[in-house]
Amino acid sequence: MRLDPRSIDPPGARPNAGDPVLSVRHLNVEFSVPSRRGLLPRKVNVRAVNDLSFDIGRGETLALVGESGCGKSTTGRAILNLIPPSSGTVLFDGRNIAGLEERALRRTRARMQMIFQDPYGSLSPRQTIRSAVREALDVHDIGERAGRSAVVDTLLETCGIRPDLRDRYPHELSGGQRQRVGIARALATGPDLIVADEPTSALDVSIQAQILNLIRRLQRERQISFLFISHNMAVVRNVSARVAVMYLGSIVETGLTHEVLSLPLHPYTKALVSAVRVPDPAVERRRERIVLSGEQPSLMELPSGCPFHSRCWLRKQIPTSNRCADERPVPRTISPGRTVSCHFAEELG
Amino acid sequence: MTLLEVEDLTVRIDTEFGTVHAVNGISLSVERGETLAIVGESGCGKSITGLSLARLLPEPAARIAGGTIRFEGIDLVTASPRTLADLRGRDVAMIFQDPMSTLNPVLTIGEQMAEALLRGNYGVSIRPVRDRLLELLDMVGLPGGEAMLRRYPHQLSGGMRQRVMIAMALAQKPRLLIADEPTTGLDVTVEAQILDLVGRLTEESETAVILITHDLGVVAGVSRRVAVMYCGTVIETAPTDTLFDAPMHPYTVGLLHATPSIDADADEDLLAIEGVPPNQLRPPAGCPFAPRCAWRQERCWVEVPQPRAVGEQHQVACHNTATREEAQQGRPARLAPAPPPPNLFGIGEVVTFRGVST
Amino acid sequence: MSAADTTAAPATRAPSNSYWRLVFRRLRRNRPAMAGLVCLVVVILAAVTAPIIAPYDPMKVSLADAYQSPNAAHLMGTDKLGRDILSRVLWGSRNSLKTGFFAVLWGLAIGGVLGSLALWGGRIVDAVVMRFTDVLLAFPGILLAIGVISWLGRGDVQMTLAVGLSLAPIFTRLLRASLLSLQESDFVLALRSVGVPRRQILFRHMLPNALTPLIVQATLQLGTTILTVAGLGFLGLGPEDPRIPEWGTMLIEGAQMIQTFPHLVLGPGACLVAIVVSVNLLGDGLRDALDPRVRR
Repeated sequence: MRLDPRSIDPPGARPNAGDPVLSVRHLNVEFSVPSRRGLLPRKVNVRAVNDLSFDIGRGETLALVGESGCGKSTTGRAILNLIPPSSGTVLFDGRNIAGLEERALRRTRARMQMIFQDPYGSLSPRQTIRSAVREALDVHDIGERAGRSAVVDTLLETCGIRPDLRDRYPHELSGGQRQRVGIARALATGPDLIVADEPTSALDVSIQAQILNLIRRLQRERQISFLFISHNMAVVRNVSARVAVMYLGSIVETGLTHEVLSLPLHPYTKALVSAVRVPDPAVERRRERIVLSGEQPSLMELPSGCPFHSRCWLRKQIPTSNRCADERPVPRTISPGRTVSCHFAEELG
Repeated sequence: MTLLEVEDLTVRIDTEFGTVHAVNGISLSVERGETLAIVGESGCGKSITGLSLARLLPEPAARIAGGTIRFEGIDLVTASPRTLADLRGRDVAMIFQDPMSTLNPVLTIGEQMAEALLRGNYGVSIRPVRDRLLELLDMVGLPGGEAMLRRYPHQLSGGMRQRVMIAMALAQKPRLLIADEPTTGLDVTVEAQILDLVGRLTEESETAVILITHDLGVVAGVSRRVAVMYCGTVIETAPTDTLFDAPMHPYTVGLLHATPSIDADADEDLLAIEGVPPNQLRPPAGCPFAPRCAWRQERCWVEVPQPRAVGEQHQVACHNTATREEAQQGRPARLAPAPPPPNLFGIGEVVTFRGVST
Repeated sequence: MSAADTTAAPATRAPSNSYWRLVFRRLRRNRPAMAGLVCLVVVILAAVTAPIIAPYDPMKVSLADAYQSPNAAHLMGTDKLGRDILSRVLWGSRNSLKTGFFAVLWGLAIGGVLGSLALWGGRIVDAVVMRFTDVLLAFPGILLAIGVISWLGRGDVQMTLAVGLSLAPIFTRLLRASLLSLQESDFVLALRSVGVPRRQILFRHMLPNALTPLIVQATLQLGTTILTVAGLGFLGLGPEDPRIPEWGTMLIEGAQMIQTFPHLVLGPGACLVAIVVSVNLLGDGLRDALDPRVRR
């Protein structure tokens, strides 16, 4: 990989000046699901997010990457309290919002917004896009009533919606246009934090680039922090200076995106990075791909100890230790801003 | 020797809004044992092409309106249903994006595989073919043996279901496998497993593969030759290396530059292709890419470019191809793109899109 | 990947193409549904204009003309009291349609309130409402209606209330089910994340979307309801004044003489069948036209 470690970072890289906008500590999210085991129906608790801690600075972007079912979307929703966390704190601007009632949260909602993966499903089908954006302003009573239409028009224009599309319904727009509307709505209330849940994964490459560029522009021009949730390493590289890699509800590695990509430390991250396809046949031929065996286990059968040990391809290099199966690794700081949850990260290097 | 030769294939789909010009006279050829990738964005007609090659279009709403599909000399367009039924599964097999909806939810994996193996002899118990089934499971790397045969599709993960589909598709050692987005929706680590598997198995049995995908990364890793589709036409065909090295069609150039890559510099914005693909109910009069093209000239608005050879196995359908330097830069060195002639408004959809400044 | 995708990009056309306009355009292409609609409109027109177009006074007794077969003067013949059947069918349609229509509306109203309440009020209210609808559903609709009529007494309004109540549980369940699935949808989540209050999400966003299946069901129920009303008339629970024309009552009277004078039931029977069939065709068509999955 031709990766220059000095390469300039994408927008969204900010030195951690002052207090973070978002500070998550020991976040846990549990679901109760019906179990089929045994004669009587009963419910078991499944832990979708397991003891997560991270910070996002003002104007900074943190990417949460992982494969489907790793709990990254649940994390995003738990932070916004759309799913109630079962324990832990979510400090937004110094105030714990975990477990607050919807009513108490409403004011805060204006300052933390969300962009969804499915830009069709996330817009109300019977509402024109203009009124969808307008509603966000009305709900939070932002600005003078009379001036709101103009604000809405400006927002839509900022996000690249042609004026003649404003009175259309979502089903009359293309996927990329709908996503722009979703972004305009999220921007309407002037948020400090936007959780973007796979905002481009339903879009075509050429449209994805448009949306990514829009997000990059917002990062540059407005002091908005992003939690950018994605399964696509290349997309993450493009929009986020810092990344946290998740596996089975836990963060296994964090660090600057280009460092994590050029020198992954956790065995899972190594496999994940090696699996990313590059649009370059020469690179594709040369590279060594780590093909993991099996698939991510179900959350209901969470392995003991390290969540990754059942699939860890480097474990045979540490033959004598049972530590991986017995002891759950906690994030250790390897270098400033770089943490790894692996007992043997240094040895396996 | 050429296994499949498609000439001037045209597909139309009738909808309540009118006729969609889904595929507009495309020509392709696949050699024995070769892997050809068809790449393009949604709505470009790549899946419709795949379906028409196996004659699996949802007729009569979608219909082949012209052209020939020669598979080992037999024209599939005019072949009898009987011939087609014989060919499908035995000589031509297909796998799809979503194996959940292509597997029957009420039958076990074993029953469905047995059915594929015995080609529609219903009600046969799986016992006589048990050994063969276990062999197939082993071939695609599905663990569990006999117990796996008794499982239902919903009990498997997406990757495992796709393995079942591959086992069923390759059970008869077909000569052509059409794989329509086989790894879309799967996780990257599982995608790597599936693509490896398809590559290994088809190489062993010398099965030719048409890989339909939207992912240039997959193309780079898997295929030897690529056809790029846009708006129902093949706009560029080239050996994979050539296509990534020196693409000539502005759309290919744009696609390559719009794809984020993990080892690209992140300090620059992606070069997005502005605008959206044209409405295929009323395709534009000239080159379908002209409204979004930075290289366009006046004739591009009115004259449909025909594919022409520009190198070995390299064809481009473009009036004003990109040079090597331009392809690397991602933008033309010359003048600003020609504006549409005034009389063109109203013919098809002319997208004048004010996108995000880059 | 398919035709749907290719048409997703909007074409150059009129600025707005509202949802309902689209629905109507699709409905218009559905021939059986349009036939149903036309037929229904004709019947409604006939009912509205009955005083003008009815050739005779429906209550005018003329024993000399009793039991006439259809002829030029009486297109549907006359009944045992010599009353013109066509006129009685026309006038009767006012009663049948009115009762049917209002009963469905009433049922919709109760169902709407109960269904929203079930979703809104939390687990206990939900359980209570659902068990209540279970109890109502346990009785056949007509039995329930008979019970209510025997309690409220005979009469137009009572009949409407009774039949409407028997329809309510269907609407309650349907609305609750669609609200529940809407509650899980992305757009409701998105509205919550924007900070839209729960009440506004329910009334402005969820209910209008949940209306689709209700409208379809209501149309289909209209046919059944007219049958139920006729059935109640048939059982002698119709309007108190037996002289007032009503299809059910006409059928019961005619049925006694069906062997000798089949024309007594032919007129009202044919109208009833026509209405029920056309309403069902329209309902089916509406279901297709409103279905978001085949939208575009």
